[in-house]
Amino acid sequence: MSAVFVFQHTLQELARPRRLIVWLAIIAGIGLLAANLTTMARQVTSLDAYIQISGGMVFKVLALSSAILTAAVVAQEVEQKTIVYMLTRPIPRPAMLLARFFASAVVAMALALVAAVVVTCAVYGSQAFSNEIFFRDLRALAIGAFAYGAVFLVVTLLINRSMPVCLLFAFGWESIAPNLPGDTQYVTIFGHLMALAQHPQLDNSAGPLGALAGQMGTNVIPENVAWAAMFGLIAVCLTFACILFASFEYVPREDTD
Amino acid sequence: MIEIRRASRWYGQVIGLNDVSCSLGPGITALLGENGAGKTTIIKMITGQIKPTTGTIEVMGYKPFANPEVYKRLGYCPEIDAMPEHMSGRGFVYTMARMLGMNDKQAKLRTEDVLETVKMADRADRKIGGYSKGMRQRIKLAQAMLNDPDVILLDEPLNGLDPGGRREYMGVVDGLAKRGKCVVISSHILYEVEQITRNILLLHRGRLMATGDVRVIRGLIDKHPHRIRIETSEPRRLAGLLVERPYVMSVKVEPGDRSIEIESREPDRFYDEFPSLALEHRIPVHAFSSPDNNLESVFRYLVGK
Repeated sequence: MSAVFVFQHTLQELARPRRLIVWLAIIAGIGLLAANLTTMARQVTSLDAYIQISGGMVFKVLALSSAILTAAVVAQEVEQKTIVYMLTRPIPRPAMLLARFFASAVVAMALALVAAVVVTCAVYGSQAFSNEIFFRDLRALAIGAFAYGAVFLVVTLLINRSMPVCLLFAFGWESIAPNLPGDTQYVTIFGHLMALAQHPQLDNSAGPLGALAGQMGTNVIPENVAWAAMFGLIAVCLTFACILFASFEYVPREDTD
Repeated sequence: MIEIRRASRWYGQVIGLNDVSCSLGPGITALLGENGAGKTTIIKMITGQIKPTTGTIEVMGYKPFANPEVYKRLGYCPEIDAMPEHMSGRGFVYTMARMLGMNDKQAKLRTEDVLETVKMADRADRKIGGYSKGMRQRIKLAQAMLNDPDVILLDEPLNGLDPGGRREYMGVVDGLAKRGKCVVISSHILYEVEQITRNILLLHRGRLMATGDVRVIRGLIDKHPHRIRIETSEPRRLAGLLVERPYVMSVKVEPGDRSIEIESREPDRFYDEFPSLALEHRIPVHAFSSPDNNLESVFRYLVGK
């Protein structure tokens, strides 16, 4: 029961209006860009606009929000020194960690899903929900929230002040690797998410948005492999995170002086 | 209730606690020591936040590290003031109650109880970000009492409390001890500890230097010549008057200095008689202090320096 409360409480904390307002502003900005992309560049079709904005921006919002929200699971508590209260509650540590993690993943997923809805509405208008790619995107975003979160959770438990590492992974590796020739996309989360979303290869995909959407490379990951890889990654990372957190010692820097 | 056997803790190359053994039972026990003596390290080990590098610790028969069975019966008030600043005191205590396994109704009732006990019920709806240090101490104590624990650890709990607040706080702690709880309080101020309990563990640089009655420690201070420094504009006249007193062993006046330093074997008698002496002879006294009336001097005596 306590773990359920931890989940609900973390969800409330992460979904406070003050925290959400920045995300909603970012999503509104993406929606505006999506609505005007076809007008700004005449050769860009609705499909081009949706694929580029979804792959290049919505999936990046997912990675960014996962990095920031996952930091609140443990790393932020350590930095603010409020972790002592978490560690001295009669809740098994793995249960505490998982409850907080699932709350952060749910919020990251919700933000990404809202962004996807905004983009499809902005691009397709009244035809928004007849867009098949949108529905494939939803499931990719849902599993992606947990996959990114699980990886970032391990990083935050292993490294102090891990945010730069998470952001470098989310925006550096995850943007470059899917565009490289060969099999490097297998070692990215984004490559697998694109395999689940099955975005078509566009003829007109040059430019930064196309690169961010991974359109410069060719996705060769089969869908079933992508599902297995994502579930496997989540299971392995969460197990490892639970083991790490179960033996985690909180030693503030001044105690070692 | 708490058994510590030959516990040591290293932080890399630095030793935080060195081969400490002791057992703590019901009543109030004070962990006394200067900053860096190892008080917080002991408390962190008892509360299962860190493990001893060598040796063992048992709390109510359990190893405490990450052990929910221990946390069901343990209350902890950390030294740090960090709390969720955006939450109200009431919201924070309620959240802690729910995390102890209470349902909504139980948590609300218990939250009101403990807020009343620490006299914060009327101010608990304000955000913690706007609290004074004293109010934070009260909220920390409130959350430590939520589960009516058998063992309560209070790390430097009197920091930031005004004299009235200290009295109230000590009253609450005393009430817990009278109900048979094991209360462990850390402090670096001897005077503060004397008012709370006679039972102390004296720590110095990670080692347990003495255990037992605080009056023995106080006696150690009083047995040794006690230095007192007096700032006055008439140091030589005051020195002349003091040197005649039987309880004054020596008087030192530095040339050009506007203060004197005396040594006395009866500091209590000196403190009793000095004000009337100064008044009678109209000697202005700007300040006086005792460099020996602190823990460092006790440690010097104990290590024989």
